[in-house]
Amino acid sequence: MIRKLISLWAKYEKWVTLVLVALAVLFPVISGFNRYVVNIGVMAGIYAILTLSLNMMTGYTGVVTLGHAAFYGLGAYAAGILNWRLGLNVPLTFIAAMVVSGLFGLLLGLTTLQLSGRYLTIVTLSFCEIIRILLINLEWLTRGPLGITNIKKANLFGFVFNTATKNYYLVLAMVLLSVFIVHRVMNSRTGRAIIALKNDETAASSMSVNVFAYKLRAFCISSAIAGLAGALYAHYIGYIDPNSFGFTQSIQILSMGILGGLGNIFGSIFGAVSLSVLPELLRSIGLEDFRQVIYGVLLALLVLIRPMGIFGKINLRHRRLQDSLQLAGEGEEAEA
Amino acid sequence: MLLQQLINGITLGATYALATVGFSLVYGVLELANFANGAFYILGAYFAMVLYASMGMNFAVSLALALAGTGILGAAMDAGLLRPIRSKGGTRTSMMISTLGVGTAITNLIIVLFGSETKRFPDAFGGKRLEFASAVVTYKQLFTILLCIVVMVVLSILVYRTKLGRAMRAISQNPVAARLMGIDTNTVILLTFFIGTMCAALSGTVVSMYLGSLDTTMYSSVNIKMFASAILGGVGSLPGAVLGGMILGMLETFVSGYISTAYKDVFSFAILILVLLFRPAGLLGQRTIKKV
Amino acid sequence: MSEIVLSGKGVTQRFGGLTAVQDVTFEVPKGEIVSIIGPNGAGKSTLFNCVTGIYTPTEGQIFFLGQEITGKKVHEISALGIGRTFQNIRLFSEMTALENVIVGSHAKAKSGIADALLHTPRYRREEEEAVKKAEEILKLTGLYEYRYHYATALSYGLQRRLEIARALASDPVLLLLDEPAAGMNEQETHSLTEFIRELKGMGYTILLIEHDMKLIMNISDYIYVLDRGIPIAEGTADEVRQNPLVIEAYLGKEA
Repeated sequence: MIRKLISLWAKYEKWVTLVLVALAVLFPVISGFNRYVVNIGVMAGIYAILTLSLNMMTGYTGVVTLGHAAFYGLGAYAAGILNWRLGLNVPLTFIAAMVVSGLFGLLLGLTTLQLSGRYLTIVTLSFCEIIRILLINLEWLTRGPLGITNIKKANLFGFVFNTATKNYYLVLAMVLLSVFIVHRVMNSRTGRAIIALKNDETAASSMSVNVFAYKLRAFCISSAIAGLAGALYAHYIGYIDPNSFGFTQSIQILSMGILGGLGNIFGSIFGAVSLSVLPELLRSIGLEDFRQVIYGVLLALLVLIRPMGIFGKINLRHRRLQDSLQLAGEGEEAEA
Repeated sequence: MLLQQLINGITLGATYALATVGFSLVYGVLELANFANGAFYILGAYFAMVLYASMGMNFAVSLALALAGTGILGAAMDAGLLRPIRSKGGTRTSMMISTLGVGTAITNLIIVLFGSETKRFPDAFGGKRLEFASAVVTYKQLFTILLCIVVMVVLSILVYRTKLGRAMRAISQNPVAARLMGIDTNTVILLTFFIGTMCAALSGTVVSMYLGSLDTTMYSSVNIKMFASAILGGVGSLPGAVLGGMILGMLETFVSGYISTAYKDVFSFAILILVLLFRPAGLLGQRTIKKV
Repeated sequence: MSEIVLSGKGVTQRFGGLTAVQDVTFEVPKGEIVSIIGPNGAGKSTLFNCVTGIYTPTEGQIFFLGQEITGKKVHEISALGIGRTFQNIRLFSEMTALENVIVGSHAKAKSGIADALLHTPRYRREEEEAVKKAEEILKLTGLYEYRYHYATALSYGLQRRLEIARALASDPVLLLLDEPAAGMNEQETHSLTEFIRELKGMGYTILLIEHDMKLIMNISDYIYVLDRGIPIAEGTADEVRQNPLVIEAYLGKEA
């Protein structure tokens, strides 16, 4: 049953994607341009970008990161500071955010990517804490714990993104850009090398794959995309402070990635959207006080029901190829 | 001044060490970063505070009940959530997310029940203190340090001298082989969680008393510190956990005292990363030769 | 005397106090099948790891096509033209058989992230070539019908074959086979023997580690024997078979 559905999905993947994109485009209209609802959409979109970028690092490359919020924060601060001090705006702030986050990713990767997985996890966690503490204490640059206020709305050559709906479309465009980047990179020689090194580093390097260099590339792409999400956030909310980018935030992003299913673009978006909407849903049915408790319980239970995430281990392209040879039924549940 | 810093550093280090051993015990056996531990740490402290301060029970009895209650919850988490995930072939990351879910749920339940404001934890020793040279040692500091030593000795005996400890070490080296050798891995893991969680609750209570207060915002920082000291000392090594905790505690105290309070954690984490770069398995961890 | 593809001079590998390989010197001439045999713990795999760059030998030098490769990185050595298989199969589990082989040809292509993002002509050409080449190799190795199967869904014997296919994708000059017959039954071993012969016929130079004596004696042009890390004999199959040191190493000292 489920297999048949997946086969159908694989067969009509383009159409399904098209319908989903159309729904996303129409979402503000469907919601009746309700500011509160569209606002949830904007935040879900920002989280979708973050989860896609985490997916690059954790899902495809296999580095479990507990510090992704650091790159998010670096991007937000890069955009925030440039806007506050120099009055810069989109697209310069976006580019600067990606470059700053990407460079920090490069720096962290260059120094620590030789470490094996579990140690890298603690390195990412430490890095996130170091960045947060620096943001708090480098007051001349960041205004410290007060944070940066009054960051201007995104302004693209005179067009001001001053409503939730306008911001929603800006974020949606960036989500699609991120999907495009991740999809194209992962379906190429670079992507195959990255998956190969995740599956088996020794075998990959024996096939001439420079494991360190490819991990570094994945790291840089991932951190740059997270930086973009940060810039979107800074312009949209208009206020950033160091504690928005700590351990809790990192965990939030990782949870979204795991829940949706790592190594799967659709899964990333699904995880981000559902975990962004869930707390609001709980709020709307009057469980406001308990929403974090329920969130925790659901997280624990969902991983229990599907340890590999809801869309983990589903590869539509492989499914399509296998179906084309009518291979179904031969271990294609792909317990890889 | 130096002596006083040393005493404070040792106490802080002892509290980190206490928190870390529980974390490290589980990490050693399952290689799982159990982030529910931070919540059990707080839960244990609240448990003890309610019994001791609000209900007026004897401190030792309160502590014992808090430990047992939290320990059982920890074991229940393994039996109800983590074991099924393992048997379904879930990865360590999946289990880790599950423990994060449990941690979030417990921490926020405490907030719902008790509010998020800081609570006072009374000193069971009535503020008694010793003075010598130019330094002051409070009874609760002494208690913290002594307790740390006692727990270390008991755990060392447990891990290195008992059948259960041998089984734990066997599982950590090779779970499949351990099962084939007739070790009841599920029970051993369950007991590991029980003991590890009790350690978390114990350290939570002791630290809260030492600081005189407790609140739920400790959740993240406790988790981070535990993970950091466990890795710094050496993964899954008990002496390593103590060493890691001590180093972190000393560093924080001395960096705060002589360099900068604001940057104390930056120093700790920078040193952690440096240590990993030069000794990837941590200070007391064992390196393995790559086999192909 | 034909050209020497791979050679080692006085290769020694120590781990702490343990000497896994001691003073091994060997040569692999072009187009031949050279084997390394020895009882368990003889240091065969360690020697392989020295050649492929996973370990850097404590002492000694290794040359490939006249160039010293001692201390080079694994991926650099592989890119020079050394393909290998693994004793304990190491296929890429999340990839199809076809993709596994395509990764094998990694060194032959050049396109990077920019090519992937923009789908440049180079990207298109290289992708097409890689797929075509991989399909050819899969046909050659009799795996074509399994091209879209996940590597780990294949039977054990087919997985071993796929490992060789993946190694061939880089057009290697030298093929290192690490116990290719491990875990195979007699019939599978037989067809593997034929296959290795075919590879030799196609001009590949092969360095082989194997436990299966029959296979070794059947196809090797030259054999080196290691015992506890020390080279004890070398020669053709017949010479080695009659060497008393070899017999002793395999059967133990007679009382």
